[in-house]
Amino acid sequence: MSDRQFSSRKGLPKFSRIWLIAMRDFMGYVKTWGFWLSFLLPVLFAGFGIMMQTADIDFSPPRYETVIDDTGVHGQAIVESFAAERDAQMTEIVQAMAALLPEAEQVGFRARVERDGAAAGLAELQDRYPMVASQVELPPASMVFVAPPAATLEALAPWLEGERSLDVNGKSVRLNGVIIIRGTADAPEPQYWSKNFNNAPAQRLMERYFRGLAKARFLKTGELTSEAYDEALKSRTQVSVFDPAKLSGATADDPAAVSRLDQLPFIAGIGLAFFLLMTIFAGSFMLLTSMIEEKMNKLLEMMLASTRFSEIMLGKMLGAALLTLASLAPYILVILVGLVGFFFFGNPEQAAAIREAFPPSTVATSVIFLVLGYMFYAAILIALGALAQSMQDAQTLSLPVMLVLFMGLGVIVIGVNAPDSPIVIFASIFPLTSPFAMMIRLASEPPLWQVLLSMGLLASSVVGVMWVCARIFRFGVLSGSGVSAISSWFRRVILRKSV
Amino acid sequence: MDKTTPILQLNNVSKSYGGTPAVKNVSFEVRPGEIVGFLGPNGAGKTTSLRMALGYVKPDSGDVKLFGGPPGESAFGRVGFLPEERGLYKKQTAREAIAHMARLNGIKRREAFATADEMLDRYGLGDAKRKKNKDMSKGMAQKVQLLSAIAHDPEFYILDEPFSGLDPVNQQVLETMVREIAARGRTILFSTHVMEHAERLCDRILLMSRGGKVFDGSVSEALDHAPRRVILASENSGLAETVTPFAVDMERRADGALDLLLSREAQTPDILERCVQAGVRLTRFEPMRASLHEAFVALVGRDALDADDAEMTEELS
Repeated sequence: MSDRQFSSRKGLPKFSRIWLIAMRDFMGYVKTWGFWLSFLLPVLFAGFGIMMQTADIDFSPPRYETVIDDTGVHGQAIVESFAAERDAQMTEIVQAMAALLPEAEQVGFRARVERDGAAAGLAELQDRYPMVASQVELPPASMVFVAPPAATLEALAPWLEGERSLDVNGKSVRLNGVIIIRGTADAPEPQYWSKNFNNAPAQRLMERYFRGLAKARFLKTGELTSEAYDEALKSRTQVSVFDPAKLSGATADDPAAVSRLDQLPFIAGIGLAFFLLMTIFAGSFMLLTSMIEEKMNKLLEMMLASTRFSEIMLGKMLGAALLTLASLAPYILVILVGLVGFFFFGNPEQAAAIREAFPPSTVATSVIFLVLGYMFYAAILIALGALAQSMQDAQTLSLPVMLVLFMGLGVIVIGVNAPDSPIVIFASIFPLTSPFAMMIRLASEPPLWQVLLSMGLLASSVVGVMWVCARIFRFGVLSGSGVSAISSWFRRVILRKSV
Repeated sequence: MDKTTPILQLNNVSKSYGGTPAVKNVSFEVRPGEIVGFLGPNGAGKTTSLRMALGYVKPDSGDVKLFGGPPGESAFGRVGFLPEERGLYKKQTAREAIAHMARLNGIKRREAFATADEMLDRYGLGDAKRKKNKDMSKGMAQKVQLLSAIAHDPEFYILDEPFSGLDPVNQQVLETMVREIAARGRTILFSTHVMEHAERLCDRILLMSRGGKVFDGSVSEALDHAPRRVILASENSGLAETVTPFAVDMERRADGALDLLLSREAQTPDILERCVQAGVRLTRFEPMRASLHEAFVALVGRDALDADDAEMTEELS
């Protein structure tokens, strides 16, 4: 061997070896059908959706209902109440889209939608933002009321049984149900007939209608009307929510009121905590199976002549992380494209507010917790995989880790509602749960000392866990034995019993 | 490191596992350019010694020097190690497997694949370059494993039982490979159970038994420890009685001849003389060349080999 070759090898950065091991593991999984199936799942779903849309197949087609009304009053009123409900629903949806507009224009837009209707509001938005709003379609009505094809329930039976179908605008459709109102206007006896009891929006519509009717009758006893009552509710005193953290920059015109944008860091924190949880869950299977495969393939011992134990461990951890990232790439890409689209084509004030909501320090801290949290759990899983001799062993060994991860899930749930509760504060410092809990708490700007203490403890734990796990890994790999070797060591060294 | 400095030195190393000694106070060295056979029955401490040599396992006492320094990262890229228990990534192709190990040893990607292709062609696996390891025969896979261990052309080869599991044809191919490596001036330490390979290939033999070194020397020195044998046949009766004083053991062969294991003092001319005196007319007198296997048995002792056989039977059952 020439000296030149040797000197280049000696200078080889350690990361190169870590990367090689990571890429070998990563490619080993990427070359499987399973990976591509999960990778392309969003695309497959999207394609399936487009196909369904192209073929005009509706997953939840509107229900066709009819009314037979003996009272002459309530049947028509029920149909009208459905139309009014739908108008209100559409108005609400289009008003929510006011967020696309500059803040100063939002109030005026909402008022115009209230006055001119949802369709006019949507048309206005499509004029302003054709790229964003042109794809927006209002949801179709859940029910369509048609004239009864027969006058009596008995005569309607063939339609309800599906033996005959209705012709609606040239399309053959099935009659899903019939509302029958017997009795008189003052004493109605409503009935709903349908073969589908599980999903009966007409029944719920009738219940809402008769509840409203009962309310109106009651109010009438006090010479009041439902309309007046609703108006009174609209003019109720509104409660505002404020954030003391925003007090410093607050003015009379721009108080420290909390808006939906202020919730973004919380939502992002929850998202990141779940992302970490998913990465560990998804990576755990790969780490365990990859270690068992390594033990079965018996390649590690050969690799150790040119690679450190720690490099193999880090390589495997990086490989699993890359695989998880690759599996989630379509979703991450969609989020990134959405964000970039929003920053370039969306409301500039809101884009600026989002940038303000995620200062670099918070982003960096979150990333540190994400990486440390992953390394902590991945090292444990690799060590367990090194001790396992079969998938059965691995599942048994990893069960305690999974239980701890479920604790992390519990912390996320508690933290969403009470980020400053004592248990969440403790969880955000305790290394087993701190990666999840601190990500939830970062949005509420916890004291700096708590963040630093948590980070320090987690980092020290990662180093400690990696050291211990490297020893277990080394032992597991070289001994070729499983958990029994550990229990035998425990009996011999700790319990001082002969084995 | 100058050319006289030993590549590997083990000085009084000992290692125990759970209180059971695996290696006891062993010292030896491997000098540049040597082919050293590392022999011993199962459980003799060979694998533990090799693992200590590579720095995988720390000795409880004594010290190890690889290329004049402690084993570990400084030797990365300079050692090619083929462990006793070995395998391949099942979904990798042969060329990927070889290139992967070469790259871990510091060879650049393009060069690693070119080397893999060249080696596969040279050793008759050219058609299997893009074949997945899981689809290869055992012999092919073993060759790929060996090529993976040596593709970076290291200075020092440590091969743990390289011949095990290979058919005679592939054993011959491997023997040729070892000779080629040695011809390039590389140093080789290999363990084996097949004495014929050690006898044909090695400059020196290290023999381990029950955790200790029992022999360190050349093949001819080892053969000096082997008991001498002579095969005798006669048409007359009384041959066995006549030669008994010269033998420590005697066996009747299938062809009727006697296989005599000579005592240390016995000399073959004395046997001939005694037969003449006794009137036993010999039809066959054939002094046998001692084999390394016999030297091995003599050095290790029957007990150790019986223990080894019992252990193997237990493993197989």
